[in-house]
Amino acid sequence: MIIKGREFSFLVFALLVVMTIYLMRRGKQSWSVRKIAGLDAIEESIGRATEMGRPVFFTPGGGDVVSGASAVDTMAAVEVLSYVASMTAKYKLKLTVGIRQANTYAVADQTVKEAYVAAGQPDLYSPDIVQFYSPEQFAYAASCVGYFQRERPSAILMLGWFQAEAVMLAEGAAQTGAITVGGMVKFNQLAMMVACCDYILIGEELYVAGAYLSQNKIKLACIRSQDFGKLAAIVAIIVGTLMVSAGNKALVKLFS
Amino acid sequence: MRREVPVFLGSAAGVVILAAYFINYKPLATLSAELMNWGIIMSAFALCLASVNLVRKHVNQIARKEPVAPFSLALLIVFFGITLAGLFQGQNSAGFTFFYKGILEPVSASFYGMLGFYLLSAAFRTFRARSYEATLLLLSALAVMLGRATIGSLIWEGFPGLAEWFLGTPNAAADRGVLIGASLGLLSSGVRLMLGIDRAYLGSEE
Repeated sequence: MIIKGREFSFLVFALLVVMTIYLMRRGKQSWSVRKIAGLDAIEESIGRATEMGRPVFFTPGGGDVVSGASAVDTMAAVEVLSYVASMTAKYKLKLTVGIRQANTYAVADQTVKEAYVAAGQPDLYSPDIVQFYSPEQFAYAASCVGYFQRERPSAILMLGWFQAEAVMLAEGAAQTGAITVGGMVKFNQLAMMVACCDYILIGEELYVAGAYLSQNKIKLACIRSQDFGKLAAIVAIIVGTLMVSAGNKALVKLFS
Repeated sequence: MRREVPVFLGSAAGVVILAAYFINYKPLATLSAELMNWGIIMSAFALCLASVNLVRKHVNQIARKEPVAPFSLALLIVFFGITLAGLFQGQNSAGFTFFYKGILEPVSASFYGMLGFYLLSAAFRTFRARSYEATLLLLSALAVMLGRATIGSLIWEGFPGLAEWFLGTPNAAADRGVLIGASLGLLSSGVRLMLGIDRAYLGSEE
C-alpha cells in the first residue's frame, strides 16, 4: 500500500504526528523555549519605533504560500507578521508590509486585517498597509530598498524565504540605521543576513517564532516533538558513524 | 464556523496531497493532482488582486502629487503597456519584446550587477576584528576570498586548498546541522498547519 522506497519516511512522519498529538494532549504542562534574542528584539524594535514615531517595515520574503519548500517558511513569517501587526495596532504605529508573491499578498493582507480587528483598532487598518511590489526578484528588492531610503523606518523585519536579494535588503536596511531583524532557513544567503542584520533567526528559530511570541501551550508542545526528533537524529548520527566505521552500512541503506 | 471551515478545508487538502505522496492508490493521486491544479487557478485570481493593489497604490501617489509620482507614472505606463501588448499582440510581438528585452532584462541585469557592491559594503562593515569570533570570521573569510581569487594562488599555492577545506569541512558541517534542525522544524510546522494549530491568517485566538 505504501509506495516502495517511502516506507521509512512515512514511519518517521507518522511518529512525529503521533508524538505531536500526544504532547498536545499533555497541554497542561508548560514547555519553555530557550531565550531567542532575535524574537525578543522584535518587541524592542517596535518599542523603539514608537518612541521615534517612525514606521515599521516587514517583509516575509519572496516565498509563495501555495507551493514548494518556501511555503512553510512564508507561513512561519506570516505568524510573526500577525504578532507585529497586533503590536503596531496597539501602539498606533505605521506598518508597511512588502510582498513579492501574489498568493502571499492575499494571506498577508488578511492576517494584518484580522490582527488590527483583534487589537480593537479596525479603523487603523488600510489596504495600503500590505503592498504588492513585484514577483520579479530585483524589482521587489529595489522597491524595498527604495522604501527604506524614502521613509526611513525605525524597525525593519525581514523574515521568511529569500534568494540573492537578501544581500541587498539586509545591507540596504543596515545603511538606514534602523534596527534590523533578519530570519531565514535557506543556508546559502543566511550568512549575508547574519553579517548585515542586528538580530538574526537561524534555521528552525523561524519556525519556533509563532509559538515563542504567543507562548501558546499547544504550539510549544509541538516544538517539544521537534526536540525529540533532533535527539533521534543525534543518536542515529552517532550509531551510524560507528556502524559505517565498522564496515556496516545497514543504517545508511535504511535512510537512503 | 468562520474559523473552522477554512481550517478544515486547508487540513483536508493537505492530508489528501500528503497521503497521495505515500500511498499507492490511483484515485488519491488523481484527486491530489486536481487540488494542485486548483491551487494554480487560485494563484491567477490572487495575481489579479495583487495587481489591483499595485495600480491603486501608484495611482494614489500620482493623484497626491507625491515626489515619487513620476516613477509611479513610469511604472503604470510599462505595466499597462506590457500587459496590453502581451494580451492583444502575443508574447512574440515587437511591443512585448520591446518591454521585456528592452526594459525588464537590462534593468534586472543592472540590479544584479549591483549585488557585488552591496556585498563589498557589507564586508567592509562586518569584517572587523572586534572580538574573538569576529576575528575568526575575518580570517576564514580572508582565506576563502584569497583561495577563490587567482591572486591568492600567486601569493601562496596553499590558499585554494585552504579555501576548499573551509568550505568542505566546517562550513559543510554547520550547513548539515542547520539543515537537520530546519528539516525537523519544517515537518513540525507542516503538521501544525495541517492540524490547524498555526492559523495566524484567521486572526488572533484571544
